Amino acid sequence: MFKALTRWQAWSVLLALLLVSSGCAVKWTPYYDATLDNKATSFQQDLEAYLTKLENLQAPACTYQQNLAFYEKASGQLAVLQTRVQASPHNTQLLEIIGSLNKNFADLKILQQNAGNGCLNSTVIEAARSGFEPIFESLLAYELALKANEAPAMAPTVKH
Amino acid sequence: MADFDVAAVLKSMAGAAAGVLQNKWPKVRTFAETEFEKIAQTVVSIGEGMAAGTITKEQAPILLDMQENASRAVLAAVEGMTLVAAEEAINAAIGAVKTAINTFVGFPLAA
Repeated sequence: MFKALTRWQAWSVLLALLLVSSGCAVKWTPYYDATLDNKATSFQQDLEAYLTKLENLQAPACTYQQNLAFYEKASGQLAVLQTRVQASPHNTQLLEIIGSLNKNFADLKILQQNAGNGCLNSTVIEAARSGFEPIFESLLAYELALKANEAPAMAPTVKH
Repeated sequence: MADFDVAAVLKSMAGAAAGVLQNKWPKVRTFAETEFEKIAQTVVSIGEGMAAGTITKEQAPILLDMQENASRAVLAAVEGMTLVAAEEAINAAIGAVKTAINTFVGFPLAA
């Protein structure tokens, strides 16, 4: 029954049979993480609310010093995202996305610190906001792709 | 017992893989193109802001760095979503082989 097989075909069949006989499906990507998904959305909402608030504030309420509470809370939220991603298998792409989010958050902090006693104007705030949006969209699009790829029984149970 | 048709199995594997990739790649490509278009528009806005004096020389490199970071995130997501599509394709191909083996042996050997 295996007559007239080329070497490539023979190796393909052998590989396929080995995979099947070992009962394995390949897994090169992380499991979908609903907690990561929710916490990223929560962070995005907080950040957006902060940027919107900042656009309408006058000095000194708009300064970095007057908004330390936001930066402390946001740093905590980012640390949680980072920890969840680090604990995930096959996390190369997620680490890159969260790393970009961390860098942009640091950049926003520098912008506001450099403004000293003044406020960031709406052009700068809008440009900063535009730097965050593709990152959140990338993270959510990737998480949705992971969710769509996953059979319900495959994902490990995660306690919230 | 039925013959184990190698050519049919290979065709089935290729068809399953191609079917998955054909469905996924356009979605990834559209996402990437949309996001990069937004980033490019923001870079243009930063230049316009500098010219208009609403963005300082100190702020501009920081804002450009933010766009660079955003681009890295988009590329990482595209890479990740392509891996998801490839994973689906391989698993669909393995599923096709399982079906062929089960048909060949006449009972559900490969679950």
